[in-house]
Amino acid sequence: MSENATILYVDDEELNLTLFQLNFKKRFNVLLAESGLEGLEMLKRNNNIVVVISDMKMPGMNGIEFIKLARKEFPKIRFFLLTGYEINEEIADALNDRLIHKYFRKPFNKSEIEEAILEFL
Amino acid sequence: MGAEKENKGKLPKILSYYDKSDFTTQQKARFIFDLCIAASVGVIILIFSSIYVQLNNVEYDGIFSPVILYEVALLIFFGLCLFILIKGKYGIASHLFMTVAMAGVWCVMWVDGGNVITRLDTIVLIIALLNLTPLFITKYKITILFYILVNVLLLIVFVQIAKDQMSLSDASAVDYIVDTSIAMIFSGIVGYNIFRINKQSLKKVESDNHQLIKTQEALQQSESIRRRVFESSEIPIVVMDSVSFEYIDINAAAVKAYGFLSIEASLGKTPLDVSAPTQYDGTSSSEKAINYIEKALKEGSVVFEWLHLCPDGKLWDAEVHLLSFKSNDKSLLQFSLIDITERKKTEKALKESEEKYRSLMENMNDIVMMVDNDDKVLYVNKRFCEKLGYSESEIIGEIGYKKLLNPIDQEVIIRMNRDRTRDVVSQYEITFIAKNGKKIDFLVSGAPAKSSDGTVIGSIGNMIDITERNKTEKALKESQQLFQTLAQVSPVGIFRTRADGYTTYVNPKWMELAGLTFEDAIGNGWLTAVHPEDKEKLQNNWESHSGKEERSIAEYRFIKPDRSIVWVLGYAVPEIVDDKIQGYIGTITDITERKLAEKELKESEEKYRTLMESMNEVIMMVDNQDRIRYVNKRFTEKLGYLSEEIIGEIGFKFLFDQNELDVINNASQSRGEDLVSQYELSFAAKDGHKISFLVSAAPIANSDGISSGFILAMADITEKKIIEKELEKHRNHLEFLVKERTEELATSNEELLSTNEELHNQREELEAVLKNLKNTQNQLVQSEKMASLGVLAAGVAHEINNPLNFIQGGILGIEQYLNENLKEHKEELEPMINGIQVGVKRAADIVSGLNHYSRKDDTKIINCDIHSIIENCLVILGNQIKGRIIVEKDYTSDYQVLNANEGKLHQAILSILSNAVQAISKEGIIDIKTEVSKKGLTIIILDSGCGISKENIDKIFDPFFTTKEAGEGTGLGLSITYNIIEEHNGTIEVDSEIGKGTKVKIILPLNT
Repeated sequence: MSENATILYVDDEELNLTLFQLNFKKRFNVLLAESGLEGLEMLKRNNNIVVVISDMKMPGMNGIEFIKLARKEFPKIRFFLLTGYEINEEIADALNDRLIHKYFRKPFNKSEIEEAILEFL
Repeated sequence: MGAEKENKGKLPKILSYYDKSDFTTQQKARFIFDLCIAASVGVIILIFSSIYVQLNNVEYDGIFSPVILYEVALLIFFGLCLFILIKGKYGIASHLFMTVAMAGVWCVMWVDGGNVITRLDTIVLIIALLNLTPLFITKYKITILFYILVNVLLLIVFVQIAKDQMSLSDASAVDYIVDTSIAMIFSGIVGYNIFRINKQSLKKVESDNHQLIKTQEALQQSESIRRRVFESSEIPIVVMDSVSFEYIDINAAAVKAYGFLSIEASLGKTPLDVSAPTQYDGTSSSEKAINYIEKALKEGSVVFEWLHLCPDGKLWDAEVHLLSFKSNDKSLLQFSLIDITERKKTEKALKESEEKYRSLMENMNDIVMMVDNDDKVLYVNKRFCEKLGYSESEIIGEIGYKKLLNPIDQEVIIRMNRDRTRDVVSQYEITFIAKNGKKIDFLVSGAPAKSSDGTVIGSIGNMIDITERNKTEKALKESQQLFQTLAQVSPVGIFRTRADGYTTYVNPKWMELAGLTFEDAIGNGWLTAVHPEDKEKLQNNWESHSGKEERSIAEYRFIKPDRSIVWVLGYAVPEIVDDKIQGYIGTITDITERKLAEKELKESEEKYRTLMESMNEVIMMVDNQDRIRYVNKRFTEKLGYLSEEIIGEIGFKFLFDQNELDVINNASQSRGEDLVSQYELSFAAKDGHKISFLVSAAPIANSDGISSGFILAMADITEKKIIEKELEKHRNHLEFLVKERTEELATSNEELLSTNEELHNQREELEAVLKNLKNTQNQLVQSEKMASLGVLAAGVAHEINNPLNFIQGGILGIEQYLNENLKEHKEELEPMINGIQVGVKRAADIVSGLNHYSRKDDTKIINCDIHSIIENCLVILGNQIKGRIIVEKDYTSDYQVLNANEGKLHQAILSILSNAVQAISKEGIIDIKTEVSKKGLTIIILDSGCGISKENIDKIFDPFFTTKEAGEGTGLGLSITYNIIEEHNGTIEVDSEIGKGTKVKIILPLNT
């Protein structure tokens, strides 16, 4: 691998953002956004993002709403959810519609996430 | 030049032919004319003098006719010249004159008979004539040379012929010829050059003159154009005297504008005649006018606006361009007027409109802000300043978004503003930062601001503070979600109506209870499911509660499409918003079973009551305090008390002979020992007479088995007593009678005993029904507990998972860091890290377990094989069973259709089996049995484990109840199992004995 792949992590909790970056910075170039809106801006500004991982419950737009918008503009990116929720109808629909590729549970499992991303790459 | 002009006018009338000739020709013609006259006069004088000389001179003898004739001919020629001249032939006349004059001279010289000198000096006349040539010639200068040549030739000829006659020597002759020729040639040359110079200067003068005339003509023409422009101009123009201020010239447009009748009527007017008394600023027109005029005189020009007044009273506005100029050293003022009445009106309207909008914007509750195309703030209203804390001067001219927005939002707003230059109207939400740092959410409606020609000059935004709204919306959304979830999973039916009773919502449980679809239930459709007999009751209940802020309760029935009847207990509470009832929200609970039980109870009670009432025995019931609870009809008949009088009283105080209190005390005591006792007792009737009863007393136990009183069956033995006494009296005599009576008594006793027994049985039945009812109620309570726990669990789960995520992320990071940088500390820290990781995992597992309560799983219900599910579970538990536990299976082979959620059923069975395995500490047996009956499919799992203590057996289905060591079990397994069985409309029962084992019995309804 010549250079680390760039991924975007969206979560409204700053602690989550910081810790995620700390844990994954070795393997990936991790970009962060605090809201869906900011996530969209980041995507527009950085065309090298290949994977997006988003929290579900966020003020403003939730993870799935954000991914819906983002996916329209960036169909090539692979999207994942990382949430404290058990699977529910909304998440199940998103999985069925192939809006998200997979969903991870909080507390996160580092190797699970890494594998999912590397599999895509 | 002026003189020439004057002379030109004085050309004699006789020469009128030359009026159109050039000036030189005119002068020459005049000269020839004068010369001809003079010559003619001269010749006439000459004729008379000749005649006189000839008559009086002796040399002549009488008149010498050749001379006279010659002179007369000359006169005639001169007259001819004059004639020709008058006729306009100037050239011919002049040459003829010259030729005749010369010929005349030569003839005189030739003919003259005088001496030499007299003859020769006449040549002077020729020279004189030659000098005149420039005056004769008009065009051809060469003619002069011709005259000279001819005369020189004539001279030579004359001298040659006459030299002898005049006795001249050849030399003298030649000398004479040469001298005279030179004189003639010189005069010719002089004449030639005079003519040439004259002609050249003339030409020059003429061309200059021509130029001058042309210039003058042009000047005249431009003057007239100017005048025409002035007169025909649509712009009113006035020329005014700078001293008297009187109008001295005015054009038609000005006359019209001023409203005068004609130009003549307008002249002599002054500005005050056309002005309003005062001007816009209130100063008088005269004062103001003088100011402007002075300014114009000083600076050359001035432009100002002026309020005019027409004679007909009409006011009009004009822009006045006033300028001063000098004409013939006189200072004049000229001004032109531009009617700006319309412009003024428009300006005024514009100003008023602007004023209106400005005050509107200032007083508006919304926030208004305007920026130009470079996002510079052009305008903010008062409300803006109040809301965001900036004063106008602090914000106007700034780049708006830099000052007011999060850097994150800036790009959004820039894009929106760019869009707006393309005429895009947009609405969006954005957060502004007030001066004090507070964040305020706004709903912005942005529109392009356009100039009158339609170009976009900026952007105007109308902003509404939605901070509160956003908060409220969020809260609303959450509460809606909560309600939705609650309603979906609720085991009770939920409905919602408008204030007029129109139903707007029912939940799935409601639909299940009423047997209606959502669409059928909405509106007034739900009434179709209500039992016809209950409709009126419901209606009345509704009316009595409607409009009141209290909850209403009603019991009623639904008839399902399959004709089955469901009893429900309905609660409704009003939804009150702003002190107004917006509608009702309520629940319905299935109480069919309770209703049936109640009915049974009632029927059974009815039965017993009838039985007791119609019995011949006297029956009474007392509680533990001997308070009378019930007496039957026979009692009232026997003792004369009405039941109302006696019920509630302490029985023995009222009824008994006080002497017999000992007996009663004894009886009470024996009754306390829970035995049926029999004794004789004497009662006092209301009227005082005594009745002896044989009392059979039995304790009454309530459903808990606790004694709540006694039932007393009393047989009237007064008669028996009397007989006994009689018997005693006649014992010896009437033995047979005694025997008979005794027999009678025995029968009666027997009857009483059997009645007692029956009563006892009935009571037991009653107890069973009560117990059943109690169980049902307990179940109801349990399931409601689970439902509310589920809602709580879902919320809690998510909130706990997030902090768990922090811990997980943090500890992973720390571990990684240790591995890379502080390997030497790793060993020491390993257990702590481990502890944290185990803690996170355990917490996550519990949270995950909790989620089962909230999970509204819509996974499919399929036909399951219970035996394969059980086998599957045994496989999973294989390594815990192997070698120590014997599993005995007794599976039914009856055909069965079990429609269930396989995954959940699997989870339930696994949980029970796992508990069974764990209950067996060393070796043991697990017995699994299935059977099919009317009730459904029964699964019995029996283990030989440690058993459950009595105090714990009621708690095993409570969430978080566990007897295992901390960390080994979440305490949720059986609780979830309970829920799963409940979901499948099944039942689960647990029986256990410490040390012997536990029996779990599950009954699942089958689909046939």
